[in-house]
Amino acid sequence: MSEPDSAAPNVADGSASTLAAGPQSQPAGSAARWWRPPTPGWSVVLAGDDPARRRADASLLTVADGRFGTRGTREECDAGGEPWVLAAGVYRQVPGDIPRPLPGPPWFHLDVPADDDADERRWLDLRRGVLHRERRGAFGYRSARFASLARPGIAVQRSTSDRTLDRGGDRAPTGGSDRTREHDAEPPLPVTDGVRRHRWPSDDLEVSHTSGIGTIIAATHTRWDQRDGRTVVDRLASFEAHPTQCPATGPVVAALQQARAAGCDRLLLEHEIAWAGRWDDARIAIPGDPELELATRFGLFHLMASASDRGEAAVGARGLSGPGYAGHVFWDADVFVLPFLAATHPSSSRAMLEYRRRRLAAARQRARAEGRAGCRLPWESAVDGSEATPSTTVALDGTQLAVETGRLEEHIVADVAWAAWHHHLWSGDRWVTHGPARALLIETARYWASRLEQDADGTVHLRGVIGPDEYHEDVDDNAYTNVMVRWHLRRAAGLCTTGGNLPPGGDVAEAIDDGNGDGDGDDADADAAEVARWRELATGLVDGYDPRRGSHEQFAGYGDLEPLAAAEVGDPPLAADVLLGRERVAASQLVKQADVLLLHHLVPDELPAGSLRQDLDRYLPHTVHGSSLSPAVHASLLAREGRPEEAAELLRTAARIDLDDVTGTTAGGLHLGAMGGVWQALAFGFLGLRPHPHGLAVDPRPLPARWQALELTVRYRGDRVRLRHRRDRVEVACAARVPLLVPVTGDDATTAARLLLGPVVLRRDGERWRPEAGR
Amino acid sequence: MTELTERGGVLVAIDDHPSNATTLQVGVALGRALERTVTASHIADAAPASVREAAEDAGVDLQVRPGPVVPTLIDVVAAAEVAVAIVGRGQPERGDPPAGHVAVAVIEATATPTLLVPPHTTAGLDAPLHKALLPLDGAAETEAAVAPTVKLLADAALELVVVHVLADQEVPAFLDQAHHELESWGREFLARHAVTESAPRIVLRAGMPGRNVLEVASSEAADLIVVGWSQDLSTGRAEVVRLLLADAERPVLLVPIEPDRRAT
Repeated sequence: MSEPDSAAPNVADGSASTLAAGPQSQPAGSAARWWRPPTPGWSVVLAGDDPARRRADASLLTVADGRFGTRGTREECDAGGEPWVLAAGVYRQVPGDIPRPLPGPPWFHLDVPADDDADERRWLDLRRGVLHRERRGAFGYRSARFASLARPGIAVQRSTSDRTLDRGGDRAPTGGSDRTREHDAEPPLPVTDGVRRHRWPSDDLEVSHTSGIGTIIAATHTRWDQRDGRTVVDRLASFEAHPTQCPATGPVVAALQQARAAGCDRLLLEHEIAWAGRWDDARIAIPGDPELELATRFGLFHLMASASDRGEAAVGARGLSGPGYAGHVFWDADVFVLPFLAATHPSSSRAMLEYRRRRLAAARQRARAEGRAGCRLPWESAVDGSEATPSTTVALDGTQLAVETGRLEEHIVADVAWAAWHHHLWSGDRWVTHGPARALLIETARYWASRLEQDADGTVHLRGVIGPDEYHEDVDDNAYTNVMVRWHLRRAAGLCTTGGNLPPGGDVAEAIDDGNGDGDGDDADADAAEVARWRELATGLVDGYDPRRGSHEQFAGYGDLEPLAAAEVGDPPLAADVLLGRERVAASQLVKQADVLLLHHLVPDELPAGSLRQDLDRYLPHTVHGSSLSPAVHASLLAREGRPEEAAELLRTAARIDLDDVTGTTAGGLHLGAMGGVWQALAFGFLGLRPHPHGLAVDPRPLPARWQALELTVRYRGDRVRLRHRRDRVEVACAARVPLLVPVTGDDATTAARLLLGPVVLRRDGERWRPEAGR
Repeated sequence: MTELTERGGVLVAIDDHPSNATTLQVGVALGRALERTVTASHIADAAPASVREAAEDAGVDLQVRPGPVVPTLIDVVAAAEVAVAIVGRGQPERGDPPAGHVAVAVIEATATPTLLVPPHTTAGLDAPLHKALLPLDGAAETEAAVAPTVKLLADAALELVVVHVLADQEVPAFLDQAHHELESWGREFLARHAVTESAPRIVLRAGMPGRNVLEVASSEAADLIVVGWSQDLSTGRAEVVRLLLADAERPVLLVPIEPDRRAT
């Protein structure tokens, strides 16, 4: 893994191989578009072929369109390469097991003769969303593969060789324990008569599907052009899938035909334009730290590729890059992935919320079964929104162990509500406040009201939960959960009394249509008595804050545990529960990941001023970062506290989790949550971006010495906002109508947020920021 | 080693100890599983009646070779036609080394995979051998050593279960949701180290390697344990092998790592 050097051979320069312009006699411009060399800062380059890394590399090089993902396995589908094609939210299940991702038909297979002496490299062009492969040796071979962002469901692969390739090899591989492909020898499709074989005798259209709980259908077409001993193979694939049904084949083939009519060159152009548009709204640059810059872009690329922007988006913990985590949807999606999308492409964050909304019926049923009101969302969600967490697992000591997260990790209910509100704040989407997604806030608040316990002294408690620090199970009054519930109840109450709290004229997201829903919003309102009760509960809910210490107690009794420090165990990040055993860790103050501290990251306004420093001082020494979500959150908070070098170190750890295969599990897919956390550390942490009802808050913090600047682009309620933090000067470029909340220090040395209309430039004045004169 | 295991037979070394019957029965069970010829070998000028009867009862040919027991048996075991040797573990003196002196001499001297059979094992006595436990530490030299033997067992349709005991230094940096994370980790470990295409299962453990292998062998009801080793039982070396030989209730198949591939 390395940044490509500027002297890297240019595969399109005519000198690299005999493939210079491809054997298709195409215009030079077309060839150049297909065979772009790696671009510094924008290309993740992998050289050679290490069989031990094949699966991890395949994850890294995944191309996806938000609905369908194709792992970066080579065309010849090497042994152990795991050529998975995944469809978001589509599963299979065998009796006694949990739902697992259904592998779709591998559409890209091609027999590329082995050449152990060849010099080979592959690179993922993040800016254009194209996976390139170049091989030089006994014969030249190149390929370019993409999943069309412009036409989700369409995937394209162009391969060229200066030898004749074996046409028999274009069939998808069969066999293997994980392959469930069913090949339709004679597709029962009248439309197959319309492939016009008579016009292209060398054409081959194939329809195949895989089935589990749902079905994935692929129609593929291959165009061979073999002349003068050279070969060009264009493979087009059209996908459709459904979580529980078998989609009609006709539209799949029709989409393929439309793509064929457009032609590969046009498809590539459309795709590049679509990616350019996405990057325009999600620009990130860190001059002075190219490695982190590339790693961050790598993460953002996969975040954008993992969430559809139409319909519903089931964003599993590993996205569309691998079968890990059984493709289940966790809070990672709502709390870590969604904010980036809400700030850059809100139609995707809305689709993620739509996934939750469409599964409220199961959440409602569960709450009822447990004797509660409202909706209780599952910790692990798959097909229908019922709890998909397995009930038991085998621990590393061989004992059968109950998996308690599905039963006790209830904060997911408030997390999703927070995500819905966050999406609303960034986008202004009234679908959350006045549309069917309102239920994500209201019916879930109703669940809490039925779940909380009020003691005789009026205090309100939430007993028997697991917080984000999963080292401590079945605890009472977990600060994270309680404060999130308090926020949730108050937010829901506010929604029922004042609506979205957006100022007039500021609540329109032009890019998003309000959905009418299907009746899920019918119960999404509360009468005055219910609202009053929510407020009463919120007021009485204990949050563990100790005014004498100025910090929060993570849960009742935490302070009585063995005060074991992370440094006494090892060098974080580390899985302390494996090293020490679950019981020992549970009896100690070791913390798996940000718990109390995550509150400062998500709902800082809910906490007493000044408590971040105290909580950091208290919990950071005990935190082992045993969760991949942890380093980025701490990076964000350390940035807020003006500790940029420590923040940058943790940020680097988070950004390279997959690029360095730190966990040894990248083969199972990419850590999307950590990738989202990296963006949050930059946006929330260093730039102090926060969407507020009345404006976008910008509250910059010092940058690490190595960074010359930090540049970031977001969309706030439909307007693009470009930020450039250049250490002592922060430029916020946006339309004049964009409300910005910027920190202004008065003569009395107190700092308050001041509402300005953009654009604005802030200048550092000692420890303070001041708008440039005239603002 | 590959060639050897592909064409050789099973040789069972027997003396006149009462546990011979068990050793022979395990040898016959392995021979049946591998579809290989089983031959009994006795080192002496002449075989006593008990040895002849034991071989006859087991239905195997008996070869009698004169000479001093240890060097002669080593020669016999090392012969090209032997794919797997089977030797009674014997009764260790004072527990160290953890096997009888003949067994120790054979396993330390020959390159032939050798199955040491505890005196009171029940493996293969009442039912065919069906499951082998394969402890892997992730070291390439171990995998290279056991690969031919594992292929032999896989071809014989024995179920293979890989057990890996996480060392402290390989504990994953992050363990987000243990039930998913360890599944992914184990899956990738298998993909990188399983030495067979027969899709074995993997069991992950943490803690003391030898003790965990014993526990997994028991919980999995494995018929035998296959271990790559460096043929050095001196004090402080081969801790896992020493423990397995001392405490395992099932046969342990020791597969030598080629000397030039051993870790220093």
